[in-house]
Amino acid sequence: MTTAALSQPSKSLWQDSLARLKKNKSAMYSLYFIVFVCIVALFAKYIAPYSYETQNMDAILEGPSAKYWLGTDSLGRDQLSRLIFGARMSMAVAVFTAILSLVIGSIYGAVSGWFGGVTDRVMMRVVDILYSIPTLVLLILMKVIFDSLDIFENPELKALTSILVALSLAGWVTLARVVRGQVLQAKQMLYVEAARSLGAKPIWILARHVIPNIMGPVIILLTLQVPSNILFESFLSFLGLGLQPPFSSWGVLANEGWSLMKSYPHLIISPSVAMALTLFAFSYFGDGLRDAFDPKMRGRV
Amino acid sequence: MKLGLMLMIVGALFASSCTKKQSTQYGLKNEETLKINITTEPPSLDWSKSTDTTSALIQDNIMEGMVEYNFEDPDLGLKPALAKEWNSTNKAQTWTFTLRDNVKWNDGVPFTAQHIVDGWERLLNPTTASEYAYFLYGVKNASKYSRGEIKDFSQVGVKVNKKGQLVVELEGPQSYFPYLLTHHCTYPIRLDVIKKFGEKWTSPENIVTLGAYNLKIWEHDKAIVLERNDSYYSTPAKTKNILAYMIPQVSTAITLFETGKIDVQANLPSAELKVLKKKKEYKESGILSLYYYGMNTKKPPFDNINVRKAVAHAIDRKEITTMLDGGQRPMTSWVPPGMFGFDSNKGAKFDPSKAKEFLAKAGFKDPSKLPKIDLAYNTNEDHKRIAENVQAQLKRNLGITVEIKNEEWKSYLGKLKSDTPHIYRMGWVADFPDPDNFLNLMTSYSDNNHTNWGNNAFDDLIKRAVSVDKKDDRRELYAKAQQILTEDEVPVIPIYSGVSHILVNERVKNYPMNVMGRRKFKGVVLK
Repeated sequence: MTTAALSQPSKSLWQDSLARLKKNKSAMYSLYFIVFVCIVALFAKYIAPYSYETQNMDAILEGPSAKYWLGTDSLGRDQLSRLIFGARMSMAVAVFTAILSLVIGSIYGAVSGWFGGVTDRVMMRVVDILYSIPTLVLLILMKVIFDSLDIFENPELKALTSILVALSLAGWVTLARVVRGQVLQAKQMLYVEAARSLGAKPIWILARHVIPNIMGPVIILLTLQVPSNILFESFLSFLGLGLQPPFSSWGVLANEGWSLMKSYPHLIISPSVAMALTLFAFSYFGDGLRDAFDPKMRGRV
Repeated sequence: MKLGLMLMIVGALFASSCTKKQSTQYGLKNEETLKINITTEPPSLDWSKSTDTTSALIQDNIMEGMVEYNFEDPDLGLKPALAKEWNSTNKAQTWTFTLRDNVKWNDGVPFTAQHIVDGWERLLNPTTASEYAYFLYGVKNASKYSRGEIKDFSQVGVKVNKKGQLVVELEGPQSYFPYLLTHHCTYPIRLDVIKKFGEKWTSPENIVTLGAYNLKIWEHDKAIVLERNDSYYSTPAKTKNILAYMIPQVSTAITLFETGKIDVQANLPSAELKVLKKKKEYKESGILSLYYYGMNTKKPPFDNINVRKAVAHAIDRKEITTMLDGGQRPMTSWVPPGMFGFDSNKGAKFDPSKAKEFLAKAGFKDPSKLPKIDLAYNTNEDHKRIAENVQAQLKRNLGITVEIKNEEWKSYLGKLKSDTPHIYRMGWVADFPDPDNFLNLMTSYSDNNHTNWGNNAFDDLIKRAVSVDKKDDRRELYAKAQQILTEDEVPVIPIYSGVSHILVNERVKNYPMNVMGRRKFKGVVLK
């Protein structure tokens, strides 16, 4: 028995973190929920009972029933199907925006932090300027520019890209700052010094030593940025700047539901609940990840 | 101690909420103020220039024309207003109006026939560029003056005779001529005031009017306050103040209605009618109106007549009215039901297979080959709902994809003038109950025609029909004109004829509801 305990293999940082994450129940349930939403979003076509755009004039504004589980909207479209297809749009915007801003942000931040000096100063001033522009103004500007360009033929893709690019361009700035800070810290580490004294090239050191070591905080930041992206998308759609009809997203549904809230509350409840649950899940999962990767931070804000 | 403090705060809140109930905003007493919602800022209160119903509502209450509708008369006759009496000679070609002599403007200046002549000169003057100038094109030489072909206004057929009567000479017989005078564009005007204040003459401190109400406060994008005109020539208004809020969100407005903050809410969202219909405050009345989509006939692919026909045949109007479920009548003709000249057989009927044929004939056998098509409407929940339905219908019945765009009313109107979208939503409410009022909209010289379409044969028919006296002959001419407009050339797609739905608080008596959609509040009594 004792020999078995002694012969346990040593765990890497990642394995250690994952084990800690698995122990965190709320984070794991959140993860399951997120995976569930992603699956629903990916296979919306096969899961949704109806199309998101089929209008049925015989069933306008009906309450929940066996035929329409969540009722129908003012054009007789099935609310459940619109919610499911809405998940697709909302999640696509949230996840792709996070990835896109991660790529831009980490490359920018890493370069700035690593080279330092004048490069750093110039690059960070650019970030400061972008940071000082209110996000909403930037978003509207980006939307207008991208809407006037006709890059994609597919209307669904077109509806998505403008909002996606707009959000990413506004979102990478925060990430760039965090990554730069982490790189500045990692640069001073002994293993970096060792690699340098062995004659490794800067790109090699960045790619092999620095970036893997700063991934923890970056991933945490990312999972916390996803819910804010969902919120931003809904917010834009709510203002009528987001997706154009007939596409649905949770924000679009919330906007439609809100205007009819008095007489038909079922239209506002479903997107609100879906959005709230997803946001909760992402927040708990993000918290769990932070606890797992950075045990020193546990319990601290 | 803490409890005492809490009680004090609660008490203070309660007291303040109680005092608030006594009066509404602007220091007006609730029991003598009719609170309405006009939903948006009136684009202009200049009655020679404005074209929308929001501005008209205010203008109709602060101003008056020579005659006004007698809504008690089932035939929709006229009753005297600024004119005591009128008669026609020479087969309805010369009209003489005898004006009241006890009328004063609210700055004390007596009203004379010259103020009417001034108003008409301003309306027709090319520098005014009024979209309603065509209203008086029946008057001798008026259209020539308006187009700048005649510079001398004395050649236009409107004069003041020695007895102070207004004598109007028309191009030809026009039996409905007095009906035109119920409209705000023909109201008298004070040139001296306009000259003195320029563009700002319509602000409350400058404007001079003679109607039952005075414009007291105009807080832009917020509210307008009208106050009873005590020097009004006839029976003074029964209710002292009109407070008109500009609340665009219907749901907000309905909440305000339910809490008694506003007394009247029109423009009810069609989606909520099912529920609102059950309220005892609910009222509805048919209205001589038309909801339509226009197409820019200069913008490809709508320069192709067959594409226009395809779209017109691909929209099932009945589906839209079923969806709206508020008593609207689907229509394909241009003249609305309830009006002389209406013919339900006219127009492009819903027929998907025919629609596809036309699209193929236009060279778009594969609908995805069509360029990008925009469909525009002014921001409003109902217009959005209809637009989304039309979008879905065009996709389903023709396989074409349209993109929906919306803009706020004022900028939407601007857009229609500068760069008309492919398909645009518009409505028309009768200015006077005659088909000429509807068909004239689409003449090549009408400023309300945003389709860039013009047809000489159509223009001629409209001009001829105005001067024909016999009803049957007129009906025939209008049938021909509708044929050209809605079947042969199709620059427009009529959708339905409207109904006005309204919530009126039970304390409001005699609220004006009529087929013309006119809202004169002077008879309203508050209980």
